[in-house]
Amino acid sequence: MTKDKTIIETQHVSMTFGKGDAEVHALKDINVSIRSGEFVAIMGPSGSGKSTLMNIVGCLLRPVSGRLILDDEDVSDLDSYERAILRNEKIGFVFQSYNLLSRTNALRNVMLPLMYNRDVHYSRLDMEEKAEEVLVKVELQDRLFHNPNELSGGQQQRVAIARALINDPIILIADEPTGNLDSSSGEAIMNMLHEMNKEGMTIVMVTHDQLIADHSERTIHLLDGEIEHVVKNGKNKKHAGEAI
Amino acid sequence: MRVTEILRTAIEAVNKNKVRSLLTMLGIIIGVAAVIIMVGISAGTEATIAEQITSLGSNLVYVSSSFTMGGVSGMRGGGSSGGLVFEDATAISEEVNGVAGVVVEQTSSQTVKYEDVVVDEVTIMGTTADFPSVRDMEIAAGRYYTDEDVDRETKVAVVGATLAESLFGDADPIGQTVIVGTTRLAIIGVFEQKGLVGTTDYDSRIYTPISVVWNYFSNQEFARVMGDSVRMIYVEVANPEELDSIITQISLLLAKRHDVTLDDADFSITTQDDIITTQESTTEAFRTLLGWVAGVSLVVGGIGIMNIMLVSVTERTREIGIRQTVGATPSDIRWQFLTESILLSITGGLLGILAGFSGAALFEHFVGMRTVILPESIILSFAAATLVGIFFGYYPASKASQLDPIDALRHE
Repeated sequence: MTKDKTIIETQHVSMTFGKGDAEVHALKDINVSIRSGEFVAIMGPSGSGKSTLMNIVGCLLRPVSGRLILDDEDVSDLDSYERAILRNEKIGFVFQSYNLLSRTNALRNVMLPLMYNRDVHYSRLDMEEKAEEVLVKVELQDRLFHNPNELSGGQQQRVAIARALINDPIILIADEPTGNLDSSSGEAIMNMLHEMNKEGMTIVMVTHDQLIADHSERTIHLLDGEIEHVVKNGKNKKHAGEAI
Repeated sequence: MRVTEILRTAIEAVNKNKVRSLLTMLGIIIGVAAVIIMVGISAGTEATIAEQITSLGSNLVYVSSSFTMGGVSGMRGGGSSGGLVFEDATAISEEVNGVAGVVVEQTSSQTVKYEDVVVDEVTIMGTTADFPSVRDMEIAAGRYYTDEDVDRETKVAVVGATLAESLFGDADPIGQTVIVGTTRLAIIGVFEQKGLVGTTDYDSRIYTPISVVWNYFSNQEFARVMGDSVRMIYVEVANPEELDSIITQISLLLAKRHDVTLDDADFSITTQDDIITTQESTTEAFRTLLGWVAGVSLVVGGIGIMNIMLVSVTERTREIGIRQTVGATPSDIRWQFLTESILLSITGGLLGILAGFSGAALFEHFVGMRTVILPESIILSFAAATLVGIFFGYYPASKASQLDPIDALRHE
């Protein structure tokens, strides 16, 4: 993958919730483009629209207007069925609250996206092998059969990362990945994300923690549904309202 | 998602909540078991009745006098006929081909006394010598009366087992004398226990030559004018395949003798099969009713499944959100929940069949009612259970499939 190829692009994306007087403009004319292999952080206070932007980029939410180009394909008008397949094949998710299936062991949790894979029909054995492989990669080889409630927060988040990676996505979306963790486990998770980024994974991370955001190459600051400014390599560069 | 994975996921989900799954299935289990047991009891009753009727002798044709539209039969045709008379029976045995035996019966109700014991309203059955063989009755002790006894109006009697017990207790009835009405009859034999046939208790009757009934227990004036009347004529047919032709012959013969047309005949002819068919149609209607009542409980069971599945969908909203996020399509989610409810109802159905079998066995053992498990009741109730699972599982499943992934993920 070349570093210059644009992998995600939002064109004039707007989002509103509610109707009439209660209408809230969550996003206003957002133009963002993210290159392959980039590590981008989205920052902003609560209500700034960062989660909404992440959900749109993750194809969980359809924008009211504007286009979303993912991997050279306009995915703005896909229906819920097609978006599910797209999420399965191209997007990995890591959440603040891990979002693992309870009472289901690590191996099974990691296997889940494989079960919904419509391209390749894995046998049960293949699925288990592949899941184990990824769990080894996140250093959980001795926790394969532990349920989430038997794992520490950091371990749970690593299971979630393994699950996000198992279908070889083209982009990883992380929503406050260290939000529920103590600083040392948070650090470990960030290092893991860095490793993945070094291997070429495109990462979009939502956070409100400046220290965490500093791990990224570029930080997009949102305020009231608009891009306030963009910080690159730790230096401020203002590009508000323009395509980045 | 492949079928095997969907099934595995459903099995895991059912297994994770064993108690709840069992409670969910309970309605279906009870419904299926109820259908099987209810239908089994009515089929058992029907089989018992059919057996009782055949036990009265095979290949029997019953000829009895009947009422016609014009009033009491036999009052027309210049008084030439007074219903069935003994001569009709004689004519049948002499003129109809293929008849193995003819027995007539005339009854009367009398008080029977033996020493201090008095039994009121005992049915006195006046019959002929062939009665035990035609009606499949076994003599336990002594003998039955002969044709000679009938001709000579010998005042002898054979008693049913129950009546013998109440009259004589442990004493040997043979050789004793009882007073029937005002007539003394000598006991020459006792019948084997027959049991209830339909509502008729053959064991508490007393059997005596029909000539004795005519002479001592009937209205003499009537007999002088009309001839010796009989209540019923039993005709035993030698070859069952000739049954239809024999019925035709008897009808024509009796119509001619009574001077009536077949359309307003003063007698009716029925066969064992007719009686069994009538019984069957009654029990069948009863069985259908029972089946429907039990079917309603199946529907109630289905509503139970729907309730629990709706609760389950709400409870597992987050799980649904997680699955949607990692790529479950709406149809994947719908199938997952639908499969779960179908699995619950099928398992419930199987357990219900098991419960039905054991319930029927317990019923037979403790209540003493015979049950016959009909295969169609099993197939029908099981199919109904499965359909109930699909029908009542669809709504919760499609509700689950329409959840918005983001809302579902936020659900606590």
